Amino acid sequence: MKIISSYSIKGGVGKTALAANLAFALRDAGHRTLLIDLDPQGAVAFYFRVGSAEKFRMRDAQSMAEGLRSNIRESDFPGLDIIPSNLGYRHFDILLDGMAKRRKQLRKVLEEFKPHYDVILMDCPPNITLLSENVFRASDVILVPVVPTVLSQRTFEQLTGFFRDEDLPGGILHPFFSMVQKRNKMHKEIMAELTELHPGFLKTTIPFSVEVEKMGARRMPLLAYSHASDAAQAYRALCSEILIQLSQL
Amino acid sequence: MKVLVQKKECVRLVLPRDLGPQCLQDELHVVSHQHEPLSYVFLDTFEWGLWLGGHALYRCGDVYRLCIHENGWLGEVVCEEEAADRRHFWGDFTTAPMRAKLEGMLGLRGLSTVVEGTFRLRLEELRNKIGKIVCRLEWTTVSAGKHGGEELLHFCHVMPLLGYEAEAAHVEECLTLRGASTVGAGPLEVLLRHAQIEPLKYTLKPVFGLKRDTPAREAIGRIVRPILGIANRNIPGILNDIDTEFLHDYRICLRKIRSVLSLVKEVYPYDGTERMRKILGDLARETNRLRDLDVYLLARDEYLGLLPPQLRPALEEMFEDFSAEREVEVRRVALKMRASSSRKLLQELEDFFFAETPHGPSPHADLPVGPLVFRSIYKRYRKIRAIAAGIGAETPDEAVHQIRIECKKLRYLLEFFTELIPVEEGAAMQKTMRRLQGRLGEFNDASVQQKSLMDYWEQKKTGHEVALGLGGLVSILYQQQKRTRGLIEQALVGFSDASTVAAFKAIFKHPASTPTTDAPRDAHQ
Repeated sequence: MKIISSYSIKGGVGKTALAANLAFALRDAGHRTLLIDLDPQGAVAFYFRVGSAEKFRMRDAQSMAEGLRSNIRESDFPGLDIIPSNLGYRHFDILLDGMAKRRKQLRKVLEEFKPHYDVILMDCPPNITLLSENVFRASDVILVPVVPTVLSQRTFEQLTGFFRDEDLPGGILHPFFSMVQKRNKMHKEIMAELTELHPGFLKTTIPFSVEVEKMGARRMPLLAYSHASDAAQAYRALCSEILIQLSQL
Repeated sequence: MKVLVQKKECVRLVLPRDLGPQCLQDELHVVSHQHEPLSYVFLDTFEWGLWLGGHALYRCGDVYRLCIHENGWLGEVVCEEEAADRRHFWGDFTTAPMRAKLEGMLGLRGLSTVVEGTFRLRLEELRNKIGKIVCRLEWTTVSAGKHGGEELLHFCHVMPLLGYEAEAAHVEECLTLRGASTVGAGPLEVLLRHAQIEPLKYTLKPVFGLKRDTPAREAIGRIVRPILGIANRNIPGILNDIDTEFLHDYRICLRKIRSVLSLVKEVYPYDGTERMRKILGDLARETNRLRDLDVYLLARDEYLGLLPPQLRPALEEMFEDFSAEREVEVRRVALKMRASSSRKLLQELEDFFFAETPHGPSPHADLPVGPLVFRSIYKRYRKIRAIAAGIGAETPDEAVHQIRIECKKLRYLLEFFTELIPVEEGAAMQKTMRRLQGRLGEFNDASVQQKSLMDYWEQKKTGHEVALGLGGLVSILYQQQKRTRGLIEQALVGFSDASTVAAFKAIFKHPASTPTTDAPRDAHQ
């Protein structure tokens, strides 16, 4: 079982769209996938028409695992299950803070799902908290959508700086360009600059697409209704690239 | 710490004919996906080897699928095989799991179609108010025949989604309130019932319902009629050449009837009995050559295995000849059996044994069958012992053949009248008989086969390579025969030992002291 996270400190960069479509593409490729919505906004579950999670008490890792299990919802797409979010997840930090080995609890919890899934994909809230640190230490791969703008560039560098400061393995960070507008000169320049500075950027870029915007209205991943669009093809290509990366781990 | 992620199992519901998924429309949005109707051809053997073994085999398109069945419900698929051409015997299948599974359940039996049905499948997605699928239904209608005739069964599987179990339970409840039920016969059973086919255990040894004081003619009638019925049931399988066992069993039935008429004498008028014996002999004789060829061809691998590899190709030629001859012979036999002359003979047998008007008098017709038969059994036993006593290393083979024939008569008597014999002693006797007869059979087979191989060579005057193969095989069979003869002598010692003698004497010479469960001690006194 591999654990992938869709993470960015900055909001509005296509993180949730990535999680929804990547989860769909992974199950399409035959991987039993569990998509966990850790963002209290609950957007990724919304895309799959799944309601909020039931509240559960989180005293320790075991009750956390049991609470997550009891909230698993089968999506409309066989092979893909979802754990929706709940506003109560905002208390994750407080809970984790009270535990021993508080930065590694999430990995321990997720290991419990190993027999049932090939991939766990987490959609994370846009901040750096104790939960985020748990995500960093639990993940095999962290996908970081970067919109080619100055602000996005700045937040990505904040993230790499945090990894350096906390002595986290920077190799698990896999940034890629998101919401790219081909004809935007600034996008091109920033992409060139960032690629030179950070050679670890994935080759696939996700274009800006009106089709992606429609996910909210349709309440399903783009790949489920627009198979041939540029963005859909890009998500599938990204999935293949990630699977290759995972196979090399 | 263990987290168990487990989906709730599907629930199967048998539905009333007029119940459709529309009945759920008030609460859930139903989206239907109709599938193409699928034609299922169910296969089994004459003996229902698959059905009785808890399995069902069907062909759907070019796929053969073996699955578990329970009350005609098709369960877990055990194995499947794609095949554009037809499969008839287990050996025709090519995949190892299918061959392994079928070999035990089919044996020498061939597959034939037992019933055909059409399955119309419709997948229903039940969506909640926000359009999320909360339950799936697999709605199936089963019709008779491969083109979808009369609709016979409606059922659905309620398939819960993880996390939406309550919705599935609610759907199940709604359907149950409208007459759906978790109990009921499955599609295969319904199709069979519609075709008026009942899978019954096949046996060559039916229960006759005899008592020691049953009048002899009535007893023989009770034995002959079901056996004649079995013979008749085997005829279509011979005509269609489904497998070799139809002819084998048909011949056994004819032989048994002929034997019982010879072994229990004078229960029918002499002329009638002789006429029936002649008909039975004539009918069997017509099939002698075909049975011989079947025996050789069935033993093909065994024969070839006896020879060193370099001699095997030569012998293949002989089997090809036998195979070609069988093709001709099977057609000739079928033609003969279909001919009005043969049908008349079978009818004559039926008329005789099912006659409504009584036959004329005969000396033993009204005697209680128990004492009559017991005398005959004891006489046979003594005769066998007398011949056995004279058998030694120098005795000609004919004496061994004579014992084999007498043993067969005795075994038939014990088998026909097993209901009159105390169970434990009867079983012990049959076991002793089986052991002895097994050896005698091996001896006889080896002897007959040697002669047949020599005859084949005489007729064909084959090339020297085939002659070499035949010679090799004859030598091996001769050695086998010699070895078997030694074993027969050992088995005969057991057959004549003091305890066996005492048992035969107690049961058949002084039967009053050994009552059966269904025949009270004084029933025939």
